[in-house]
Amino acid sequence: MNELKIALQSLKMSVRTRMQYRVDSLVATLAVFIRESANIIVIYLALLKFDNINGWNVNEMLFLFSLLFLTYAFVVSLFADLRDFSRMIREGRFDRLMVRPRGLLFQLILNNADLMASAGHGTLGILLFLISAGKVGICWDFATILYYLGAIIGGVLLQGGMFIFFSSLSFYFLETNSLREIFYWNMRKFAGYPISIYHKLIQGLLIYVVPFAFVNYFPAQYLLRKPDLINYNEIYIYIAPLVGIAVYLSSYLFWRVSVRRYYSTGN
Amino acid sequence: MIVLKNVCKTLSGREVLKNISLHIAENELVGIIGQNGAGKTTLLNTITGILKPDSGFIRTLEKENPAAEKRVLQNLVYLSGNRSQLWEDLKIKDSIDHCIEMYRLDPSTAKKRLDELEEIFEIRSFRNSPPCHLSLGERMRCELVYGLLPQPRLLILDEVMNGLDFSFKHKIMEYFKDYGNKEHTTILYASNQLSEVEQLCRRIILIHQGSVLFDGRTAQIIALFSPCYRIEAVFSGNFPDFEDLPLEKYRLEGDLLTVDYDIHKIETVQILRHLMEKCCIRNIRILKPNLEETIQKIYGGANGKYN
Repeated sequence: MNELKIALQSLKMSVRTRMQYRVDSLVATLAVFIRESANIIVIYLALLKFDNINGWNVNEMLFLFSLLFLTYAFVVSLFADLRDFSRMIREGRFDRLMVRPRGLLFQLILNNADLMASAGHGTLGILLFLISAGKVGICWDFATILYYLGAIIGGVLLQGGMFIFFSSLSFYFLETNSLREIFYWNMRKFAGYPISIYHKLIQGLLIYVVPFAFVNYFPAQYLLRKPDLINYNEIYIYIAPLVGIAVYLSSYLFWRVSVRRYYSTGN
Repeated sequence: MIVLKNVCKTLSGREVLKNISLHIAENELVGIIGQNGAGKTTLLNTITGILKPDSGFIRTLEKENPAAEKRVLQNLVYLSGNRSQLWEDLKIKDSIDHCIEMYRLDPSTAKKRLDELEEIFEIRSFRNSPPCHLSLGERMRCELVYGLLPQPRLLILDEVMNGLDFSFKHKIMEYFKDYGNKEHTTILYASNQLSEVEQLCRRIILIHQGSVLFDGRTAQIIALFSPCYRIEAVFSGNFPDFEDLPLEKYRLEGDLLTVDYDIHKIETVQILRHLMEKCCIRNIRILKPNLEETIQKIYGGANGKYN
């Protein structure tokens, strides 16, 4: 119970920090919203011309995108401190957490939550969902809603797990941002589209290495059943929420091992 | 409370700790001194368990792996002058609230203690300011309150007097002097300000190039390494004859006589008696060597030995 209280307190601290600079926070939220919307508008306009991408029409594409934005809205607040973790290590800010009577990862979660980015991504995600969800032929019954929520949670855990994994690398290397840039951010850009449009190699990366396909493509496929699903084992669409849990847990184990190593090497 | 046996640690190819053995008892107040890069902070990190030794044995608060045990950390506070515990953008009182949750303090007890501490460290008026609006000294006072609030059994202070003005330094040192016994707290006090350490700590540990060069009473280190005292006397009448006394050296400038002597060879009182008999003393001053001079002397010697 006390754990939950701490988490809420961290959130409260984050809100207060952002409230210190209200205008700045508002502008930042807007900036994130506009930046991400611009991408969507480009795709929207393109689809008006081409009608569909590999069988996916405009609304289905927007639905695919909405999953990416909604999950990221949670990730960016829950795991904000892990985004630039190597700097935290270099500046010695991590050491102060090590002498506090709380779990290390637990102290990082919700700390410095990037609520502006959350608001920006979240608003866009909800907007895209509202636009598309009614028009893509999903029957929103209890089972579907349950799956959908599971997919969101799985997607959050999956990306959180990746953040934890890349942060753990900071215990071994001084600078890990370029790795993260290549493997996380670039892959995330690919994940906006149905993965069947890509070369086999990139598909493989998105499924087995940086499994963004389980954040939005496979969950969307469970709900939409587009014909390009035939290229993949159908089991993927059922296990999508579980993949998130698996990635999170294995990243957590890697984190534990890495922290233990950090104790003996120092910074 | 703290036991280290033959602790060695190499960091990025440099032997930072060489075969360190220590024993620190409950409620002791120990000063840790040493030049920059001597290994003080590494030693403190090892004691807290943030850093594991390569070889040797450590035991802090009855545990061999202190930083991995939340129950140990509950009783340990490590404050450092260059590593802030406070939230940079938030009001001091928010940081304090966070501390209360973090250490699971009982709200009413914590409030009472906070009241006392705010009084002593005079930080009440900063409650609603963020650290970035405070001066370095004001900030340090808030840090100290943050660290003392959980009533740790082991308090590690690394250069915490940074930026404090003279009167506050004095006040805080007075506070720490009997803090250990009153609150059942062991304090490790690391500082480059030797006069602080000399005033505050009865025991000091001198770290030099990763080894313990001295561990014992502060008075003892001074007597051991710089046994020379000095008498300055203003006199009138005839110049006294010192030929039969084993002095180090003496000097006469006008009517001021300066005598340096080794207390192991001759007692102060012998010289005084001699002076009183032979001439008329108008004023006299006896100077004891302080820790700073002593340490300088040791480094002079030690460096020579290592070169």
